[in-house]
Amino acid sequence: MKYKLLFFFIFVSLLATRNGFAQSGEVRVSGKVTDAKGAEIPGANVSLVGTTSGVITDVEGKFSLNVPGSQSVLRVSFIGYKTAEMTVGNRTQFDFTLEEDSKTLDQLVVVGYGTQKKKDLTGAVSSVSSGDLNLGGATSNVAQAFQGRAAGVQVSQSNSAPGGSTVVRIRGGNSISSTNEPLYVVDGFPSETGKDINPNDIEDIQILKDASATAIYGARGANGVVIITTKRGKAGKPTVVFDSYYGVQKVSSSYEKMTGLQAMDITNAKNAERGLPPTYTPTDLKSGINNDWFKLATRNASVQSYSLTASGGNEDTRVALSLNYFSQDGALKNTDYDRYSVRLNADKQFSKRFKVGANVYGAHTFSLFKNYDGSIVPSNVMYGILSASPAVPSYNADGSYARFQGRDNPLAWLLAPTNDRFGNKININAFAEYQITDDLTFKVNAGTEYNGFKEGTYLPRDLVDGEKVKGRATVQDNASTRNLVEGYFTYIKTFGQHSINAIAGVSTQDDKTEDHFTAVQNFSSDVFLYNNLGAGTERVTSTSNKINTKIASAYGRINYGFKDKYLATFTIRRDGSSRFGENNRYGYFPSGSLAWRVGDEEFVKNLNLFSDLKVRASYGVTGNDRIGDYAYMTTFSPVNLTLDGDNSYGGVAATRLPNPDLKWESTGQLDIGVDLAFASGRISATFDYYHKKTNDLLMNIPIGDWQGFSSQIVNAGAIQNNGLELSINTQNVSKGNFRWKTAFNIAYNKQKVMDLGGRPYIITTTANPYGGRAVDFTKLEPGRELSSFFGYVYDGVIKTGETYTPQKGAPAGSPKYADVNGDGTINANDRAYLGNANPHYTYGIGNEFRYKNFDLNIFLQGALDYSLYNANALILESGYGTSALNRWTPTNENTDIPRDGYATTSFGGYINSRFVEDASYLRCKMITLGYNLPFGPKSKVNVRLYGTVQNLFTITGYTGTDPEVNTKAANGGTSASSINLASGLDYTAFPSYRSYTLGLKVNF
Amino acid sequence: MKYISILSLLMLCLTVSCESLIEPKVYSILTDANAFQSKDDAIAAVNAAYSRLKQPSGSNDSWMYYAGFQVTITDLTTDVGHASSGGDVGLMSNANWGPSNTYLAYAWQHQYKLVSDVNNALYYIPKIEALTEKEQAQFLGELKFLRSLGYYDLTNAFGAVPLMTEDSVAKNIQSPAYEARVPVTEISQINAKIISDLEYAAANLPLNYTSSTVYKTNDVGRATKGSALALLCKLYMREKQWQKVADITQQIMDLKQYALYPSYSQLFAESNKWCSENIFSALSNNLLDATEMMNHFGPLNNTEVTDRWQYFGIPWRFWNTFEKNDERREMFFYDYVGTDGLRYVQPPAGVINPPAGFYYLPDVASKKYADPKGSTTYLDGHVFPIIRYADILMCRAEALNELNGPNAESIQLINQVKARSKATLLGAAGTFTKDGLRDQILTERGWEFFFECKRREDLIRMGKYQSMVNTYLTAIGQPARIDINKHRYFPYPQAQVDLNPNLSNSDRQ
Repeated sequence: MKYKLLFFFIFVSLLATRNGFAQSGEVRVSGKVTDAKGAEIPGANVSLVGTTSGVITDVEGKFSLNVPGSQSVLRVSFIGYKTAEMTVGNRTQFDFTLEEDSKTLDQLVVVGYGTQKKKDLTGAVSSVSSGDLNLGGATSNVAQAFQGRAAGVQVSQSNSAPGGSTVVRIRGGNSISSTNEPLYVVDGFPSETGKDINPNDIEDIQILKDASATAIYGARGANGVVIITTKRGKAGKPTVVFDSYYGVQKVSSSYEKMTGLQAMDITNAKNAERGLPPTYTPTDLKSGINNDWFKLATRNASVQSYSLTASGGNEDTRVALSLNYFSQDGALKNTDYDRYSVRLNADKQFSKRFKVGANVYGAHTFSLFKNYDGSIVPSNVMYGILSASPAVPSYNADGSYARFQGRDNPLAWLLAPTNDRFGNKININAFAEYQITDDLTFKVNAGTEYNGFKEGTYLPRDLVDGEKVKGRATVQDNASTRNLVEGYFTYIKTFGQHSINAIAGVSTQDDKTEDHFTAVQNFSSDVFLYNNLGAGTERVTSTSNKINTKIASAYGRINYGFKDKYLATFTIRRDGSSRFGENNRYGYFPSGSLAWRVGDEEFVKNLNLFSDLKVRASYGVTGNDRIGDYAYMTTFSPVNLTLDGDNSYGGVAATRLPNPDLKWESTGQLDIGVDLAFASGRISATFDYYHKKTNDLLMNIPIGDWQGFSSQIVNAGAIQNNGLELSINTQNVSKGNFRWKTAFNIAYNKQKVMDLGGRPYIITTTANPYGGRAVDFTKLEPGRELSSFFGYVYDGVIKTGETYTPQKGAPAGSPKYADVNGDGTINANDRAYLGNANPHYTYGIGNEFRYKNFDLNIFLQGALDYSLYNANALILESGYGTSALNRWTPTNENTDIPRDGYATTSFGGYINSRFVEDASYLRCKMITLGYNLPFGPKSKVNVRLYGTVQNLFTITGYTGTDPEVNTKAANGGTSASSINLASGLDYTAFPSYRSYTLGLKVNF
Repeated sequence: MKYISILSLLMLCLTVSCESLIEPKVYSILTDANAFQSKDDAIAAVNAAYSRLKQPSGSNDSWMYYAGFQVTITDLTTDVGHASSGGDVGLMSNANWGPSNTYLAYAWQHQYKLVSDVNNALYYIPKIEALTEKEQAQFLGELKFLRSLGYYDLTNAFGAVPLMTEDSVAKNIQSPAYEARVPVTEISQINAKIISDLEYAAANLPLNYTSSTVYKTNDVGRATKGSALALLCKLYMREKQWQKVADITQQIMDLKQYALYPSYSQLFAESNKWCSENIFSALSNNLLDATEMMNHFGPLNNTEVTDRWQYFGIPWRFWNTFEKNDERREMFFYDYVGTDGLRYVQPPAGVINPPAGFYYLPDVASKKYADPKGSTTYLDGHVFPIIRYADILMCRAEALNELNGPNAESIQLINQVKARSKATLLGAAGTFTKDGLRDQILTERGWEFFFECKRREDLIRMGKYQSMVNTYLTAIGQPARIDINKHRYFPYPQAQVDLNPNLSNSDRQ
């Protein structure tokens, strides 16, 4: 509430300020803005050159404003059209016809350390403007906002919990052990948490994909670079926008579970089959306990957002302020995510040659979190919800949580523990730019970023585990700071037919991260939660750690153009990093590219076919420096022993061997692309082919024990990714009051591991839903892709009287597996590759319709040709899902479901083809319908009402709840290698949901 | 042009000052730059090497190497050890091992772990300027003793192995070649290294630590002059350098540090961490530095020593050889009423199925590392004796017999050991032939040192490994697998052979 008041106060203050800008003029002029075909253009900006005053055209394209005199110049601009100007003179009526500039070739694109005209780009860059982002609803981070919007940029919402995680892969994954997430650069500042800024602050996003574009980020460029530019103040009329929406998230998945009575019956039946007495007595069977845990655990949850942005200024000084409160309750009870954020961007032109600017961003987040890591501990609440019997009671008569056989029910685990997570992020980044000559500019960027989180948990006595230890509290504090200083020269000059745009500069960065963790138990009372650790009399653990990473770099880029048709770019960056071993302290990352604007050649122009045609080719080398801090050093750790039998003695022993050669993973990438446009730019397309080969993969290779260790981190191994990308933008209809635009993109990627540093294969295991030892889940061998499932081939159930020799002695009702190697018995050698978790195709289709005051956006996205392992189905089928009712029994022979799961037989295993399913899908990610209230041309206020539906429908053959789920990536603590090697597990994920929101946007 | 100069200058600045800009700063870890500065650091490095005697070390929960698993490649491969649990340990105990046997890999890995930690300490300690000459000699002496023990055990098990020293550490720091196929060093060369290391240790280590100038406390677990001489004695025994054994055992006796402990059972009491008989042991404490020895060696379903696994047992055949009056016979759980009310006993010959109320134990658990008055918790603090004085006496008896044939001193030495356990003493020297006395010594060593990792080397030294183990295997219904030419050494672990084909198993099983 406090915050809402604060927002209101700021809002009122801004309104008051705005009145100060108001001006009165001498002449009132009016007019209309249309396009070449005579269609009105609403929302075009009409301003007076040299002043800050201006208006926006109404829905009929009409405007009127006061001008100070006849010398005044009216300027009309609108995105996608060329700007037009007219001197007022004696006239009072002006009709502007804007020429379409739909290809926006002169549009500036932010590339690393500078901007370039889009037409001069020689590399592969995808642009997503704020208007094309998936904003609203439950969208809480940047990656969700650009999901499906750029070809070759695969985003999956691996965990749909509030504030949940996303996985982003640009042109496939290059690494096995290290992260494959791209680098985020926000307003020139490389930010570890750039993905988590308020997505409503974004003006546009450039996604750098090929080596020509990413080489300027050298050792951090290999996974691609997402350059985010936030909204800045513009000269002209100040604008104040208040945007709010409220909505509800409805759970869209469910798990079919049996009734309490059925559960008791099946438990007793299975007992009888094993020769055990029944668990439930005839009295129990009449108890009527029937808990639908999923229903009890979920709710229709609200999502809301309030934001206020104010921006404005003049030619000298421009300011943009944005305030936002976003709050999402979880569809699962006792989960939520709240964010308060503030951004202030300011620019000041001190003189013709000197300007400064600053960006300040601060955010505070709070969430109630749960664990969705796919383990079988009861704190993994979805495991409990899926596996618990409906016959387990929920509450006692006194309202306390009921226990069953000495254990807590899943609802108690969902509701009783406290799991709070607080996040704080501050980024302050300033620049000063001095134009030394007309051609040469020097710019300094300096900034600091603080990113911290605190997790406080408390396990109360309501739970058996809490009772045992008399309450346990943990507190984890983590704080990262980054300091960055960069300076670079920009030289732009045209000599006759030659043009040069060059930059050269240096950069240093220093990161420090500290972490503290304390766990305490034995509290006299549950009231303190984690807020009084001293009250717990038993310290369980207390640890701390601090690390430092430093990077120092020099970089340069030269773009050369001849006749504006023949373009070349050469880039090089030299990165020195504290992470690299002494023998490889510096890496050089060069790239070169060529482009030919074929469309500007006379012979093509004469064809009158293309309005634009450019071919590009680039090759370069970039790196992945996320190889771990201090990893090249030999390190020593304390050990404890006794040398007299009574007392403890301290020792220090080596924990790792030195590797002074340790360095970045290195990706060489070739890209060939074509940009083209037809029909006066109404149809444009971009096509790219790429081939990436990554060498020096970070690998833990086995070494001889005589070295004192059994494995060592080295740069070995190679992986390659090949792909195709196509994006098409069309303006289908632009007639009268109706407009229809379509944006489509699709990408194909194929990965192939070339070498595992001499290791024959890498097996990755996953938690066993039955308990016990983790079993093999994926296998990586040269020639294969990451996350390839490896297990048995399921062949139904052994029927009564059937003799299946490879499973000698297996009773009827046992799962049957194919004898893959034909040796007459089923053992580990009968496992085969069952599918792969990396989508080979990803695509997005956006359609935008406008009719009069209405606008409609429909965005679909999806992925094709990949599989998931549906472990939830396994839990349900082996437990209390309705599917288990169809299990094999002597009276139910005709079924595929074994009598009692996959763990009671010595043959085969539960990682088998039965649960590997094609997960290809098409999803209606977002539909937004908006309506601008017809307040008339004189109104100073513009009001828009809109409604958004997210995840309206998903077309898929996948029987699990959500084809985007990735359990291994669902928890922040999961290692990068585990995400890379064992994606594709759908296990105990947060419930998927559909969100419906209604919004109101007011422009002043 | 001016600007190009500025630019060049800027670039130059960066190049020059870059080193400091990317020099990593460590806060929470020890590296070679900060771990070895003071005397305390040196002591910590030495201590850590001791922790490798029991592994995983430093975790207060150990079972590898001298926390028990060393018996899997020694006693268990002979007639005095048995594992009834099947799997790889069963294969070891049936002399049916192959290069992929896990227990060979464990032994190899953990013995080399000891060697490697010693090598690290030997590399770094001489660089610590704060140390006095005496301190450095003390530390190096202890370390060289520990490395000698590691190589003694490695060569016993595997014969020729890669000889890694502090020079290997230096090489790794300069330019690591972890994948290089290191050469295999002949045993004679490794022996020479062990001898020179142990001679250094004997010359520089004190008799005991009751008044050490380097250490403030009486650290009985540290290597002493006596430990170094005793290990040297064991090496000379292996090499059958009988005169050297005779000389060195005399030297050890002259140190006046050692005596037989009066009670055999109390010698192995968990509470007896150190006594006059101990020359070198792997010490433990059930709270600070605990082992799982009791779990592995303790009896099945016993009411006194509860919840143990009897993973390592003794064949009944061997237990039956004890004389009734020999107190060492009582070091076993051979007849007890179990937690299930059944009586746990030895099956009579030829009987498989026990009558009602009985349980037939496949082998018998020893109390050596399962003291009935010891820990009742999962973890325990039994001490593993690596060399004790009785062994030195028996070595001397054997060496003198080899040099001079049956003699009064040998008989007297053996009878000292026997007398402590009230066993029947041997008669006069004249009643024995040289071979007969050797056999007596072997039998006595079995009774005295079962589960102390001595049996395999004793049998091999006396040329009885093939015959006695085959007789035993036949008796338990297994094929007589031992061919001394192939079984003298274990095969190198397969994973190591894959990494380094210089390790050839062509002449091994």
